[in-house]
Parts: sequence; C-alpha cells; structure tokens
Amino acid sequence: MSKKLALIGLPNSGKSALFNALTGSRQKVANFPGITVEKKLGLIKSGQNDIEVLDLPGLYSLDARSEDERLTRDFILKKYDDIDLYVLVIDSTNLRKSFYLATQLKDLNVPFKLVLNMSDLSKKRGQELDLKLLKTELGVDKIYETVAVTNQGVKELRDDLVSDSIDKAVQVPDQFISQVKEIEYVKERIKTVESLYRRVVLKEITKDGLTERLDSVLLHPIWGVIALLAIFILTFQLLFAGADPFIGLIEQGFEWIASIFDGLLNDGYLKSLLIDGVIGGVGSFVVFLPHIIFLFILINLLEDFGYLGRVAFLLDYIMRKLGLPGKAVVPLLSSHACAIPGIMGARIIENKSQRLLTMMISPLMTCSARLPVYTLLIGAIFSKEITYMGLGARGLLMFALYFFAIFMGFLISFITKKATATQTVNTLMMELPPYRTPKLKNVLFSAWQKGVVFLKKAGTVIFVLSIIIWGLVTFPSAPEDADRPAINYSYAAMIGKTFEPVFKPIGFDWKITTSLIPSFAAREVLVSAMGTVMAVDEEDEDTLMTKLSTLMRNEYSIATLLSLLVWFVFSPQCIATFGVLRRETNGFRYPVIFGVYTLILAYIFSFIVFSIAS
Amino acid sequence: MKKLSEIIKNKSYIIHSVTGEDISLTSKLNQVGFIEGEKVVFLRNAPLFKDPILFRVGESQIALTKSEANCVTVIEDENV
Repeated sequence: MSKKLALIGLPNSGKSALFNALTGSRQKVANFPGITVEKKLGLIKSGQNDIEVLDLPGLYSLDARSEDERLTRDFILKKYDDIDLYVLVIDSTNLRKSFYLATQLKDLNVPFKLVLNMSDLSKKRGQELDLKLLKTELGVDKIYETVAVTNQGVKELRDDLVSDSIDKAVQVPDQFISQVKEIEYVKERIKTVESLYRRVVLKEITKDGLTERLDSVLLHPIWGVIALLAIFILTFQLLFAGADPFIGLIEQGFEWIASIFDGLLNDGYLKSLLIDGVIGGVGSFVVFLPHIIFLFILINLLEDFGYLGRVAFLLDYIMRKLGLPGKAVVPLLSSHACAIPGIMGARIIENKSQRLLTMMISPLMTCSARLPVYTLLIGAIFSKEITYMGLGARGLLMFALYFFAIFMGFLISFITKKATATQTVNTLMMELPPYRTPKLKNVLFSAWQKGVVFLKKAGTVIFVLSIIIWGLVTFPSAPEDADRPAINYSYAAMIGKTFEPVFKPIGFDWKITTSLIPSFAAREVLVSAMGTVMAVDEEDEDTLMTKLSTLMRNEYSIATLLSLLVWFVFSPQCIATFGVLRRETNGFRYPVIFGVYTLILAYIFSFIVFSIAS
Repeated sequence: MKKLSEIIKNKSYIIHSVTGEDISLTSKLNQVGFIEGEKVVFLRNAPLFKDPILFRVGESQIALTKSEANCVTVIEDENV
C-alpha cells in the first residue's frame, strides 16, 4: 500500500518550493470538492512504494480563521484522506512564530517530520540552534535542514520518507477546536513557545538589513509609488506587446492545420465541422496560453521576490474603500489585455469573497478583443476625425469607454461592499516577507503549470460551446436558390429574428442580434459576422473594416451605434470567460450569475444611451 | 500607555496587551507575533493615506490596518 503524506507550514515558509523539490514534475492540480481552494498533489517515485504528497494551504496555528486554514486544520484533526504522515515546514529565519503550530502538533501526537527550511539564510544571519534539544522538545526523531529552492537537504528527506514506516494514530480531544480559541489557552501556548525559543536558540538571528534598505525605496512615499507604476506599465506592456508574437504564431499554426484539411477534404459539413468547429474551437482557447503564461511568469517573479505583498500594502487603503484588497489591482490590470489571465490571476487574493468579487468584475475591463469592435463602431459613428481643442473625437470616445468600464467595475464592487458589509474591523494583517532572489526554474515551471491547468480544465467547456455556436451559424444550410448569405437561413438568424422585438427598445435589428451570437466565441468575431450578414464580400480585414463602417453608418442611426457600443462594455462575455470562471469557482453557479448580471447591465445601459441619443 | 497606531517611528516599544471584541482577531494578532512583552517598532506608513502601517515585531514585518493596530497597547521600551 502506498503512503500518503501532507506538507504543512506557515504562509511563506517555502512549503511549495519544497513540494516542487520533492515531487519534481510529477504533480497534478485539482480543486478540493465543493470549495475553491486548490489541491496540489504530487508523487515521490520509489520502486513499488510510491508516496502521494499533498501540499496543503498555509496556516499559522490550529485555531483556523480563513477557509484555507480550516481546510488544513481539518486534514490534521479529522484525518481527511487518511494522511499517514505530515511534514512540517518551518522558515528558520522566523522560528518563534513557527513554534506555535509545532508545539500544538506535538501536544496532539500528530506524527510529523520537522523541516527547517531556508537554513542557509538563517545561518548567514548568525542564528545558532540547539538542534538536539529541539528534537526532544518537539518529539521528532530527526530534524532536516533544507534549502528547498536549491534542493539542498531534500534528497535526505526524500530517502527517509520512502524508507520509514508509520503507524501512529492521532487522538484529538473533542473540545480541542473550541479550546484553542480561548484566551487562557492562547496565553499558555505563548508561554510554552517563548520558553522553547529561549532554550533552543543559542544565538539570535541578526536583522535583515537588505530587506530594510530595499523597503526604504520600494515603500517610499514617492519612489515607492513610481516603482509601482513602473512595474504596472511593464506588466501591461508584456501582456500587450510581449504576448502578441506568440499569439500570432499560434493563430498561424491553426490556420496552417486548417489549410491542410482544406486541401484534403471536399466541401461539406464534415469539412466545415473540422475546420470551423473543431480546429477553430481548439484554436479559440489555445490562443489564450501566451497571455496566461506571461502573466504568471510576472506574478511568480514578483511573488518570489517578495513584492506582491508590498503591492497590497501600497494600495490597500484605496482598494479597501472600494471593497477590494490591494492585490486586486494585479488581476484587474491584466484584464485590460485579456480577462482570462485576469480571472486566473485573482488567485493571489486569499480572501474567498474578495477573490470572487475580483473575478466577477475583471471581465468588465476593456480587453484587447473589444478593440476591433470599438474601432468599427467608432469609425461608423464619426465619419472622419473631428477634433475638439486638439483632441480627436474618436480617441476621446475610446478613452471614455475604458474609463466607463473601470468606473462600472469599481461601482459594482463598492455596492457589493456596502450591501454585504458586516465586518467592524478592517483586516489586512499580512506579513511582508524578506526579499529573496527568485529561482527562474520554479517561476517558469509554475507558470507553465497554470497554462496546462487552463487547457485541461477550461478548454473542454470552451470547446463544446464553440462547437454549439458553429452548429447555430451553419445549420440549416441555405437553399439552392439562396440570394442572400448562408448565415441568413441559419438557426442563428432565426434566433436573431425571434429576439428582434426584445432588442428593439435598444435599437438593435435582427442583423445585429444575429451577429451577437457568433461573437460569444470571441468578441472580435462581431466584425466578420456583421460583414457576412450585411454581405460585404471582402477578405482583407482593414478594407472590410472601412467598408463595413460606411455601410453601418448608412444603415443605422447614431443612437443604435452608440447603444451597441455600450452593449459591448458589458456583453457578450466570451465563452472562454465563462469556461475559466466555471473552472476557477468550481461550478456553474457563478458563471451563470455573472452572465445574467452583465446581460442586465448591458440592456439597461444600452436602453439609457439609445433613449437619450434618439 | 499608547495604542500601537499612535507610536513614534523607529522607536522601540513593548507590547502591553492585545485586546478587542473580536477574539479571533486578537488571537490571530498573537499568533503572527503581537504578544505581550514582545518588542515592536513602527517602520513606516503606506503612502497617501498613512494606512496600513508596517511594524517589525519579533523577526517579522507585519502590516496592519489602523483598526487592527488599535487593538494593541504598548509601553515605551526603557532599555534602549
């Protein structure tokens, strides 16, 4: 029978780095049933006795407060998943705090291995310990001193984990969970910890001078803010410009595959299904990979360096007033390139409801897929560039759309905060870890892992929905004597015509409503869909854009065009957004709520704009 | 005695007590290092609104909001 072990430890103890060092690339990521906490499972290969390794969320003590902490506590106290052994990872540069949890485990007779991680840093800073005494005091047979990021000491730990046999049972007194919350218990525990610390620490650690010096710049009222802005601009640039060539390559790759099938097959449904449905459908989510990987490389770098917590510190006050944590700036900013990495990036927020709120407003931000649509409609509204006081009207309208989206996002979050506010004390209580040099290998590996998770977990939903949309615009096919484009005879057009009365109050005709259906696949598809419906025969994208905007200007009133423009601020949200929301929230509930609320807002605001303009 | 939110920058204080209505909050403060008798130094405010506040307590740097810092009372460290 294989053994199961779980890694536990305080936040920032280097637990995940040790997990990577122990299991290498043999990992998979899943969600714990029913909750949004991620479960990282790995494997230590050892001939016939493989060991399953579980990386549990960090916790300070068995008096758990957040959902993440409760999960880890219940794994320990209620023996979920029949864990045989725990590995307690301690940051050697921060012993006193770690001893709280360590002594609790010892008192409960939980079987654990003690790992003193980052032992290089603590030694460099002059800390000396009585390891023999620590061993007896915590009741462990051995202490492992490791540097997980460089694999130092990891082999010894892995070998012992493989060879040791375990048959200890945990006996937890029933009243323990409520007992740990009592003041008397906490006071007693602190005394125990303090006395243990005094006895085992022979020479105390010196101050971390580098961190203090860096903080005096990076958290400086002026330089700190400039550094923050510089990092944000870099993030933005990297997502917009850096990812573009890779997106182009992926698109070309899929076009190339499509062209091969184009030559091989005769025209017909099979060819259309393969090229437009299957290849197009797979392409529509693989194309997000560069954005996701680039964002997570950046997030991982900043996190490993220790800067992410500083972002939260710098922006906490402003964001708190809006109902969001300081860190929410990172996913919200990324969403301006694309909502998919933005929603995934919300993982850096520990608080569940704040994370959820961030995911729900991220897709409102003006992502790059909206730009072709905005360009088309703005081009139709202003036939030529008009300038007010040196500012172009087209540019101003574009800017207004960006601003409106951000404003709406914050307004929604502010209203949600007011509606659900129950807390009396604003909580942050966050440790700013010492700065450390990021390890590139870990940074890249973890970013790649995020990409793979996206492909596997969100890809299926996106793929299925793409096929459905393909079906809607393809079937039934046009009759032999068709005098209009084939899409006019499809289910999409039927749906568009059926819903025409519903959209009449906001100025949309059936041509627009029909084009809205394929733009669920990706917003920019609206341009080509409108082109098809309005029978513009033009392959070249730029010429199509110019022809179509002239055509739309003649066909529709300014009120309708403005209404459609505002509609696109909120809806349609692309299916990739729904797919990734489903994956990140582990269910259909939030994607549905999200779809409904954006649809309602889109209708209300389009109605207002249409009524005023006409 | 002073509240932690009112102390002078870069001066050493000793924590006198951690009190508040929310017991889970005060015990969490204890666990991250705000313990009676522990030394604490106010390192810096966040720019713009002077909230949150960064402290060094024990070996770690912990950021607290003003309202969290209000739960901690301190006395001056006379040994420095």
